[in-house]
Amino acid sequence: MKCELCHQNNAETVLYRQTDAGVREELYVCESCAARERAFEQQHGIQVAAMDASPLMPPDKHFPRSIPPELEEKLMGLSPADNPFFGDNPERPDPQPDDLIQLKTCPHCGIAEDEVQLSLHLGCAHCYDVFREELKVLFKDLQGCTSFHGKPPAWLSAKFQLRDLKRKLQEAIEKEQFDEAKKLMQALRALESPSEDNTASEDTDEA
Amino acid sequence: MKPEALSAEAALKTICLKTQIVLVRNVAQYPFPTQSTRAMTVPIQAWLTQIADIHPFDDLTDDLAFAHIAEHRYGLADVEERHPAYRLLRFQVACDSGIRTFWCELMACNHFTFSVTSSELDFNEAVADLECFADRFAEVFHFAYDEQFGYLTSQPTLTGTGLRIRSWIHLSGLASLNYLPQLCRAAEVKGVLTEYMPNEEPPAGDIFILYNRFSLNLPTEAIVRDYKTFLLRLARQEMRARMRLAHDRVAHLYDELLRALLLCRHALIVPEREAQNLLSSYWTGCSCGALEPIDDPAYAFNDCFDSVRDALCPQSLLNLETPHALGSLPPICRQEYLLNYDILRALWLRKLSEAKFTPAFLSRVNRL
Repeated sequence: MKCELCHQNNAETVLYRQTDAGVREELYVCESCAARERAFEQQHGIQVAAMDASPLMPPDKHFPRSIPPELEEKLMGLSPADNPFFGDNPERPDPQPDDLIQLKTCPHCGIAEDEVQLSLHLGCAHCYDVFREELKVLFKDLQGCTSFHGKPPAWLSAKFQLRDLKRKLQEAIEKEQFDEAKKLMQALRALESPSEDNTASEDTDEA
Repeated sequence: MKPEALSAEAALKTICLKTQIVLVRNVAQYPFPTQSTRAMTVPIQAWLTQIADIHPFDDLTDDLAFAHIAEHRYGLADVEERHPAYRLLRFQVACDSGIRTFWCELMACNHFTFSVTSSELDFNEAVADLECFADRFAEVFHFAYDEQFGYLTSQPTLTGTGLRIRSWIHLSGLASLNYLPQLCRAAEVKGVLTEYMPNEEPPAGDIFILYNRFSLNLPTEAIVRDYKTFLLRLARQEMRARMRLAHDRVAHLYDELLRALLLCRHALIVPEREAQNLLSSYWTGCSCGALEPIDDPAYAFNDCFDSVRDALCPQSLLNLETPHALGSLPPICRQEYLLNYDILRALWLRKLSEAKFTPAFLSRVNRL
């Protein structure tokens, strides 16, 4: 919420002042505006209470002894419609609620980021993709590193080998190392279809 | 062999009751246990059929008599904390090192825990056999795996290799000398954690549970190697502490052992925690040469799977045959003993009072 005096900084404290009609009003202001108003109070005898700034008299007992002309001019110089302190200004934007904090949520299991941080438990394997960057920080704290250095499962080893062979084949072709490329292609075929390769070799032997 | 001359391996064998090695895996297509629902337990029966095709097993899920000692003896899930879909399977598998018993716990709907518990200390062999065993399941169940983070689990502390090694270690010497805070700090530096906080009372019987902290940054062989190295150093420290008790704090040790033996001889009611502490004193006295062990394997330290401490559990006490020394009980206790575990425990401990101080230790006592 923005300060109701300067409309620039975030509101951090509450000021209480009495209007001309004798009604106590609350203003949500930033620290600098609150400090300025307190200084103005000391100069002009206006009781301005800030809730969490200094131990002043209870807001109920704050009444302006008088409104000095400068303030009155300041406050009254504006039409009520423009005066930010008084009246309802239809053009005055409604106080906006605090910006909603958008939390990441796993679309598969529904667990939210704050739940993961609080409980230190994940909901499913997909959570590792959704919260990957946050988990890197967590793993750095818990385990001292962010990557696995062990043995991959057997079904994945074949996939790694295929990928590695394809990469090397591409490099050999680019470098025009055709003998090397031929060997790599044979290895690739053997990995992709081992049964066909065995059948072919048997036929060759029989021939 | 004199206690001072024990090698690190022998020292570790003296203080280590048992070690449980666990591999955790999750099936990829289902949420982890924290987000799973009852409906997801439906495929479990079909999975059990597939598992039976891999290797025959004994389904001990509904064996309540076994359930009570499963946690205590093998470090398996407590019966009161089991998920409704929990299954406990026992496999007897022929490995290169011989026949091994593997446990497969199916938690919730997709969480597999493969474990092996032994008092032997060849961790490398056990881990290799366990990995081979788990890989057989990988041919049927697609385990959740990520290239960056390894095997995926609900807990980030287990992600990676999914390896957890837990050891039950008797550290009465370090506990007596108030070295536990230093132990916890040293363990943490070496990537080992203890199920104990320095400001807490030491666990019953001074049996501490240690486990590896990291499962991600190293392959299983390196994790096992570092863990074992720490245990060996710890074993040496513990034996030194016991020697210090036996040589430098003779009066304290003599007083402790005398109290323990007298309690074993005369006590009528002994709660479980106190019984564990009395056993701990007896074992400490035997290992540092102050007591001569009694000639009864039922009271030996690491007679495989912790059956000595197991005997102190209520379920085991009920299975005792007519306990010896029943006649030493006053009439009121003889009437109640079948209903009171603490009395049964006191009777079971009577045998320990037959232990004698060694001449060498007594000569040190008499020099005081």
